[in-house]
Amino acid sequence: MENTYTLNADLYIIPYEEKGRDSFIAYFPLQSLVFEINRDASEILDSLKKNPMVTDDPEVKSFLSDLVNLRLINNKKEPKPFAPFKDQPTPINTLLLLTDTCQLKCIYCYGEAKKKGVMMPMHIAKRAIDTITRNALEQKSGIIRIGFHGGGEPTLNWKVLKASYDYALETCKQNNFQLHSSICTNGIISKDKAKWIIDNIQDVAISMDGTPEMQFKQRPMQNGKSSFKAVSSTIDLFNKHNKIYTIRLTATEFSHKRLYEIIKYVMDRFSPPMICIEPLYICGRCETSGCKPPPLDDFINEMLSIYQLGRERSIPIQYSGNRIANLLSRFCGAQGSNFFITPKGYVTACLEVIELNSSRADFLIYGRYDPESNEFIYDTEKFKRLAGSQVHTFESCIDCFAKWHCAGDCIAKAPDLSQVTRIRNEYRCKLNKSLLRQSLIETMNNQIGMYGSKVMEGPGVLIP
Amino acid sequence: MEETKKMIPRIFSAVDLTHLQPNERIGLIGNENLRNRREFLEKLFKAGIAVGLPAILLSSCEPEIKYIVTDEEDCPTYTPTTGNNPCACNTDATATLSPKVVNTLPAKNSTFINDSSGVEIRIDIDKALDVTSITGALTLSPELSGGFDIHFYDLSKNNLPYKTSLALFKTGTSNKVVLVDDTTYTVTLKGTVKDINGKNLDGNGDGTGGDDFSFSFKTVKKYDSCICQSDCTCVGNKCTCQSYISCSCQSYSSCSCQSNTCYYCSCTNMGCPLYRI
Repeated sequence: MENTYTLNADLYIIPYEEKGRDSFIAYFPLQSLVFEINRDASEILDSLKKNPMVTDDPEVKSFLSDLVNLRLINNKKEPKPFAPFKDQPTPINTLLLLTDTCQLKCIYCYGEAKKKGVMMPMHIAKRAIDTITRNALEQKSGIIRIGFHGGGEPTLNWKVLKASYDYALETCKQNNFQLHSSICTNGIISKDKAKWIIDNIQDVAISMDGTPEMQFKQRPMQNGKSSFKAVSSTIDLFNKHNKIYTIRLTATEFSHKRLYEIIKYVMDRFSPPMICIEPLYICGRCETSGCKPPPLDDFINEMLSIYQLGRERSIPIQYSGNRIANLLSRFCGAQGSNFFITPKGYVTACLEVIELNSSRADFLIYGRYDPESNEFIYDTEKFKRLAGSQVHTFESCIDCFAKWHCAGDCIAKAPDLSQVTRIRNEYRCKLNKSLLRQSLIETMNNQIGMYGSKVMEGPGVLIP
Repeated sequence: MEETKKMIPRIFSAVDLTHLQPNERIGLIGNENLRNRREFLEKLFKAGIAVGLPAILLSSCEPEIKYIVTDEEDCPTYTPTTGNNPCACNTDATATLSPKVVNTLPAKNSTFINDSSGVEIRIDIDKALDVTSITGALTLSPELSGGFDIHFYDLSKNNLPYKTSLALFKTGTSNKVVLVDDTTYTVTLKGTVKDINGKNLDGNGDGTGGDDFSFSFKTVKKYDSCICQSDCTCVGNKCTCQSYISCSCQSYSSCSCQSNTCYYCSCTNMGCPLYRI
């Protein structure tokens, strides 16, 4: 008897060349299920992706009936990730971009931070905290989150940083909320400031580029001197106090073919709890310095070696586009929840875009502080455009196995923001897919490999 | 596809990745589906095909799920303009249905390393039970020396896929029961158990109440060390994970990552997956 089969699950067929020409991976990301299959199976599934199938072949029926039992076929549509949003921003988190002043003159600085820039005044920071508190009360969230970040170095606006933290803390006490705090710093800070951060800020990221040579090359002081010693002193202090932090490192053409050694150095020297690596995105000062990202294929290979090194050393390595554990419809909060306040009081969805004259401002700056009303006012059309830019609307991602993981990648790095649904950043897209594919294969192999020993602790596990 | 070609589709390996996902995601895959999946993987496993079994077999659906169907026809309660109104992924059974067992601890037919300090034995049922019907209705074979008490948990006010839990404890204590190594135990809940609407237990899941539910599991002697993936550190026989995001421990019960602070997640909550300066 003939049966009709209709695929109802998101399915991606990925060639598995490492296992041979006739080997494929069938990946059902939204079902968290993955098979290694042969060519015939891949052709059947490929065909099913296009059209329902009618067959009376017993071999094919047997194969498909298993998938029916798994509710991958002939079932109702599977739920997909989606981030609901309202017509107006209702953030309960804020990131205060306290200044565009910085002691460093990094060759790739997206903010082109200056020796003397703009400092956010306290009344704007305070109003941002009031705004998220009001929303948190309405939403009964029980928590607000406040973060401090660049353009420049946030600790250079220390008075406002500390005062806004104290204000947020007091607000939370009054409302019986939790306060979550974070900071990203260049690490050029006094011991007193570092100690305060250790005692008060929960999530700390330090931007630094590894070896003294690379730090000097890519992240020199404004006066041209090396910044390595000052940054390493701060990290040493964090380590001394067992502070959890992340080192965030930018890979460029200068780290090409040396990245593995650089990361190894960072691990040996600092033993950080986590390292985040991002390839350079050309913007800001890159335009004048001419700094470029590392060649893609070599960078992919280097990253794969570095992930392995991280596993050997038990130091997690993160890259924002490789998120095998995530199933998301948006890459980050830029698509509907970021409430980042620039030093001048603009509301931006992306911390890389803080000035109205930025080429990306039209898309990403969606509000401003209004001194007359003492409120933030929003361009709701811009906000809705950002919030609606989720991966299921990206034509360019329709048939990509990585789409629910990288969620279409960083929209701010799309080559043309007016066509964000159609055109992706090819460099990052290929990088994401390569690293995710490898993560998927490693996860498969590790999970299968665990059964080599036959016995596992915990209930629910088979022993043959 | 060419009609003349003889297709011989084959699966060489199958891996369940639910351990990577948050609970709400697993809630949407659905307990029934996960049960089917486990049976399928077991079938492959017994046929000598490499499998990666699910680390989490059954899970609850969180009240605030973020994964929702985007197609309105599939989800009538979804209203895109106002947002924050996700579909519920579990609905309560109606009063006319018989109560069913939706989860057991240990899992049915599982084999696990015996914990000499005690083992949690629990049965979760999808409806609120009539507590008076439970007396004498739950047995464990072989019997435990000293017997056991049944603790009854009414979870009907919680947003869980089960409304009642029955747990076995050492007599007169709140301690887990101590089991013997290398023994197959069978737990039976009789079909005489009733829910608050007077419906008898549907033990075999055929839609008709009145039949017993049984499950078995086997204890094995504890080994000297646990097995975990390379990004977890073995300390004694415990897995210590460096961070949640990289944790791939197979068993949550043996992994301290579950209670770890996860600053990656916090960062995500800030709306920014990674910081950058």
